[in-house]
Amino acid sequence: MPIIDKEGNFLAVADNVETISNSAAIADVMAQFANAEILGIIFPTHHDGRGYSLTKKLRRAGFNGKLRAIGPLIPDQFSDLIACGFDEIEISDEQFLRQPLVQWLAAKEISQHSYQNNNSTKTSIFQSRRQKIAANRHLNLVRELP
Amino acid sequence: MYRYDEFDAAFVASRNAQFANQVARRLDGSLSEDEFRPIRLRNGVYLQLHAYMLRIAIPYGTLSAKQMRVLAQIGAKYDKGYGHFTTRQNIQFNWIKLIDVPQILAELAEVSMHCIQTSGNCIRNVTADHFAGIAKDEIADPRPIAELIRQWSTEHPEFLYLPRKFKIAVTGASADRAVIRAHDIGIQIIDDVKRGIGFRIYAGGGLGRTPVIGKIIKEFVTHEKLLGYLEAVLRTYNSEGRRDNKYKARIKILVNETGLEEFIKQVEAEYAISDTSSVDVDADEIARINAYFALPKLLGRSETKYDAALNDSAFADFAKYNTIPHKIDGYVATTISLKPIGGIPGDATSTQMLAIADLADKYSSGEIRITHHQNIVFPHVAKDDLPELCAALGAMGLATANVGLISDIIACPGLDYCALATARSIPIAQEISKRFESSQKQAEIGNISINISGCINACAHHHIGNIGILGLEKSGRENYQITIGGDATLDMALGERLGPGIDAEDVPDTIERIINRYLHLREEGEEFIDTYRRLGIEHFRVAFANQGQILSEDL
Amino acid sequence: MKNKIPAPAILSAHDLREGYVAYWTGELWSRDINQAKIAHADDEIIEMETVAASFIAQNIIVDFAIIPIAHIAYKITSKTLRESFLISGPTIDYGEPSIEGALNVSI
Ligand code: SF4
Repeated sequence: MPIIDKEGNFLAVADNVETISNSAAIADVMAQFANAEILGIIFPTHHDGRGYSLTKKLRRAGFNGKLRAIGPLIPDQFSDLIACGFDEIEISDEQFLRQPLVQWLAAKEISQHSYQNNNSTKTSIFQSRRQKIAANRHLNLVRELP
Repeated sequence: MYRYDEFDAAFVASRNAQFANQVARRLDGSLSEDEFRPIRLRNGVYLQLHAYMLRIAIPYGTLSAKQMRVLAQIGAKYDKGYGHFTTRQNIQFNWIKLIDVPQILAELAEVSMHCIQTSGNCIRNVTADHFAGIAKDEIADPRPIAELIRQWSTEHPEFLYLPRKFKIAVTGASADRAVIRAHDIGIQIIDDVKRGIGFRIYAGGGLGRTPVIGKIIKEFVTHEKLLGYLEAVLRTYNSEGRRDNKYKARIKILVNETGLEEFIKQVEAEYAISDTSSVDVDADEIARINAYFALPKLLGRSETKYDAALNDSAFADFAKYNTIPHKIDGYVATTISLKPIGGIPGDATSTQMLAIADLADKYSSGEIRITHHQNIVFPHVAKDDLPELCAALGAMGLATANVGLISDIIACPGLDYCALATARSIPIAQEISKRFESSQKQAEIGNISINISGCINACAHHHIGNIGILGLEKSGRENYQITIGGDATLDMALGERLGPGIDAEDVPDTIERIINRYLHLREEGEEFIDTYRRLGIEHFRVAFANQGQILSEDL
Repeated sequence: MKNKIPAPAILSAHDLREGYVAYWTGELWSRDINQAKIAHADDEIIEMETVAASFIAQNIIVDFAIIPIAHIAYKITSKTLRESFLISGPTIDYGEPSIEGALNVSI
């Protein structure tokens, strides 16, 4: 099944992924899969949001492998999934036909701004403001120099 | 008032581009309706009984005259010339075309407005005391913290697909005017002798099918740590909340089923291991947001014109019922009632909205509030301007002096618009209001709240109305259940059912009998709720029995 | 469909782009209920459901409903409470809401 990684690459390789339910208890998962190379979290529907929190918890618990979101997820969720700690998304062929790679890339591109700090490379709005305030302070200091 | 900086503006612009793209992909079939529905809901677009409805966010009920003008324009251009102010301090338009929404969002963005998270299973638009920053009983203005929560919760990647909607309200005064205990999370600003200003957190409140009053889950959180703590609550709810039954999916059910103590323990455990550094707010940011909510410059004014006008009894009534004292002497906060006798609660025409905007510029430093009672507030009116303002409002049909009185009815859209409704609400409100048209009668009855919901979802908070009316369907007919004794303050109480459901035609008579009963039973100085509390519901059942209904049935 | 709807019945849906209620006439979707095709037998209702499914698949309509009706004196009325309001529209008299000056505000 089609897999899209967070850089927007299409991966069609068959691999060995361990999968868990999105309601799995974090302690059990870490006990069993702490060293998994790729761990897949199953999303039963695209609007069941447990997988987002589970990923956050896994990252917090020190899981270092790849995390894959598996299920009927849509391009519009791409950024949020990455922000919570996912590396890649696996969808069905039917969906990939309807929502080809360009849509995933466009959806990611369009949501460039975010208030929250998160796992992606984006700078949060809170951070940007802090930087701006700091920069202004610096500017003012420079101006005050004789 | 909060003003967008370049970051807020860029965020909203990109969100609008995103939604335009989503609508296009819905129309070309890239997105199925199932996939699109949560997206459109998160942008305030519902598919109602007759058409799409667009709900526009008015964060914590504060807006500017400029913003009100744009709302007026949207009503005129894209709707039928009116809008409906809601019990969550928002506005909704009933006849919006999906294909027009991207353009409407662009027009809203021009004045720093949006529809983000006004619906859907996410953290909804935050509400607050409509007298924030003005009321004399205030510890601190709740709006800066509400704004902070707005930003933090906006498109929070982890919490966009919660089990169910999630509503947060903030109050900063000793009297709770934000109904915080009916919210998923209620935040009360407190001034602790030792720790200074901080927040007490209530959780698990909510009305709907299973009404529950919110309980304290944390006695004190600091400003700095508030968002981190909220994240812990939300994460616990997102992971553990039920998803098998939408009527059991709110946090109130999780708290009840888990048990309050155990729930608190889970949240604390989550909080203890959370790295909150990314959402901790430093003093700079707090100061930045606080500065936006500073009072406008209000000059000292005489009160001679005001005093003279009090000789006019209509004006005296307006001054008595529709104003409250302001922190600054010589000023009042003035409520514009959207409840004219026989009118549609919460509705305003585009022309009225324009007039309200102009008058706000002239008499209220350009600032407007929306109340969860579906009325409008001018927060900063000089008493000496009040006679002029009252006359100008009167000319627009906006000077009804009934705030807090029996005709100030809260009603949801009901079966006239709402796809989920089981009965109509608006015509019931209209009939009751006409029944109590006389202002003397209303004055005699005094403070009382009537809340009418068109289905069990309880958008009009009927459980906590002094008189609550719930519209249901019974064998193909509209049928109304009456409760009394609800209370929306911090001493929140749920109303008790008076008897079996009744027909629409019988509602005004029944309400009148309840009122007559109260007038007969009350003691000097009592309001309706006091008499009810002193005597209990049994004394009121007579009013119901007189109707010839069988009392034992269906109780 | 959850419950089997008894004939006679009509097919309604919302137009996807605009959201307004439309009725299936047998050939197209009309906003006029009096143009609605009436299914008089179960198999005609099943056929209507197929029609609805195909227009949903083409992204033309959303949220269809089969409405059981009474057909009295050439006027179609719903037999269910909710749908009778769907057909009638809001029952509130608005008069002519004023939009004077609001079409083009300067902000
Ligand atoms: S209470 Fe029911 S009828 Fe009224 S607005 Fe809410 S969902 Fe609709």
